Amino acid sequence: MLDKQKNNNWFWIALTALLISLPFIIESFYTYLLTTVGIYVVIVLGVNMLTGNTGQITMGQAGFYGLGAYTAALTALHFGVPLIPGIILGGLVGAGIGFLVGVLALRIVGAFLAIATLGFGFAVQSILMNVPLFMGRTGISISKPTIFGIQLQEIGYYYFVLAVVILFILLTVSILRSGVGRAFMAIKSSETAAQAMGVNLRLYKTMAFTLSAFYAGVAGGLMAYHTQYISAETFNFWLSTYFLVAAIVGGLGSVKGSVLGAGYIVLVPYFLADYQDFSFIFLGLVLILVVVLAPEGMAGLLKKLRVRATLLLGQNKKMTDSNVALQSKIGMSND
Amino acid sequence: MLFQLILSGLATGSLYALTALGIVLIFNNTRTINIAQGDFGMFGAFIALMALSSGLGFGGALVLSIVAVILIAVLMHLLVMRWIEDADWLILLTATLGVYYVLHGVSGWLWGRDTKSFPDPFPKEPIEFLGAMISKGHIFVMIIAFVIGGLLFAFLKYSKWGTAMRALKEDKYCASLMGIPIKTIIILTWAVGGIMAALSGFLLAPIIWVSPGMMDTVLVKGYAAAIFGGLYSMPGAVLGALFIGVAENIAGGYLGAEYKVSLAFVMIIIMLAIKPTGLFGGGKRREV
Repeated sequence: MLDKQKNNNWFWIALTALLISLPFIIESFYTYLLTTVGIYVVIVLGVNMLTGNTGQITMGQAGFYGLGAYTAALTALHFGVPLIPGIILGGLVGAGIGFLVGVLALRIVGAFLAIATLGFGFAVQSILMNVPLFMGRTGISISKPTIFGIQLQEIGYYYFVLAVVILFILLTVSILRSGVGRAFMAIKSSETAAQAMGVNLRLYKTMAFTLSAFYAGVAGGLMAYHTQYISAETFNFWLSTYFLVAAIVGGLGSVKGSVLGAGYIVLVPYFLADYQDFSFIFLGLVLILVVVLAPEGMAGLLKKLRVRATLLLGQNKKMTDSNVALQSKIGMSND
Repeated sequence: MLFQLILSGLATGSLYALTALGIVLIFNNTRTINIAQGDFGMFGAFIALMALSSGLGFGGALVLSIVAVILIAVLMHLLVMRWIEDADWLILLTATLGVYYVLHGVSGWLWGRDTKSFPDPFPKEPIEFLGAMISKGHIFVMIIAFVIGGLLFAFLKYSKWGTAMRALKEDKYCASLMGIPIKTIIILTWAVGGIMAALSGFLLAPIIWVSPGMMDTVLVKGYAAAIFGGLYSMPGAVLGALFIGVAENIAGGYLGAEYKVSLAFVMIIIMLAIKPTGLFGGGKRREV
């Protein structure tokens, strides 16, 4: 167990070191793309906490994302609010609206929540399209982000997003390891059983929903500064489903899965951008295959691969089959 | 003005009802929130458009599109849904999302992403009805939708297969003990759901025209209607659909057409806040 923890830490440290050095190695365009991945990681972490850990679903996450983006953009435009307060405000607005929707929608079982959030996504987009304040299809342009009076260039912004991503990963891991996280998992495995054990369903479900909306709002703020232009058309139903797909294909209930899933959902459509229809077909087929054959997603496949490797090399004799089975049953969420 | 808005609202509402009926039927028998339900209709509309442009009449195009959609729905069950029948509803929903992606991509690839016009099978000229002007097409659509709805109810209520489908909804295990061929009935459920989708796609096509994304907002409204009735009740879904059709038309008439989708969401939320189990409450007992 301890060995595994150590292994995992090395994985994250190596990944961070790689990500810090990357902008010096790759072309600047790929730095831009990686920043996009980072922003998606933040929102997918939230979706995954809600769907993967708590067993609730959201099909309107683009709504919260859009609210965060517009909050950051409009406060910057009209009041000159700088980067960090801007994205925090974006997160808070997302969380506030998320709380309101959650309080109403969470009174009922999951299937209804899926539909309520689906409707929410459509409603937010139509409001962004049509209320003059949001400038609809015309969109809003904002200037480059400044932090303590210093203007950030592309690489600087990349590092800023990287720091935010690390912060959110640490936040997520510590939430999941706390009592709150255990309450989430209890709700996922059985709402009735969780309630019988004294878990306050409405409190924790609303909390999970609000938290994921906060993540989405922060990610929206980050994205507004990243693209320096937002328009209402971006925040559509497709985008909402993308976030869900990322959590599922990456690996439900796994932080590593969120990171992998975010990379997947940014890079596949990017590399298939000239063949949009095939990109949909590809994403759809992979999604179906994952759901039917590998419900634990990419993170689950990686774990299986590593277990095979360790068994084959015989390095870790404690890691027996039953041990592995047990671990996947408990759903170790901290890797 | 108001009466006129109500009348044409009932016409679109009756089309939402067809989508909602398919949704409720499939949800009742398979626990599946089918995101692809709208796109079944979209695919059918494209098939009908192809048939029409190759010289087939409206009747032939309709039959062809219904057959094609039945095929898609049953294939979706056999290739995907059958393997995860007992999984969590979240997994089922996700699988239908995958099918939605594939149908979207395939239709875009085969027929392009731009919106295509669809000839109106019904005469357009308006007639006067109790002081309001309504196009003949709207009246036809309404009558057809009600006939189809009536046929579905009669099928479920009086035919042997329909009764078996209702038994499945009550208790799957018990139904199997009664000698009901569960597997066949579930295939039948998908087929009937497909027929509903094809009909709503075909009848909506002249109004909203044909494109890969044509049914997206219809899907939301269909689900809003289904929630209105509690997701388990068919009469509730029909009432919900008619109500949404009328409400959005009135709101569209006075506030502007842009807010029609928001209204569906507001209705979902209001309904959930007042009566979470829907208009015809109760629903099913919760499983532990």
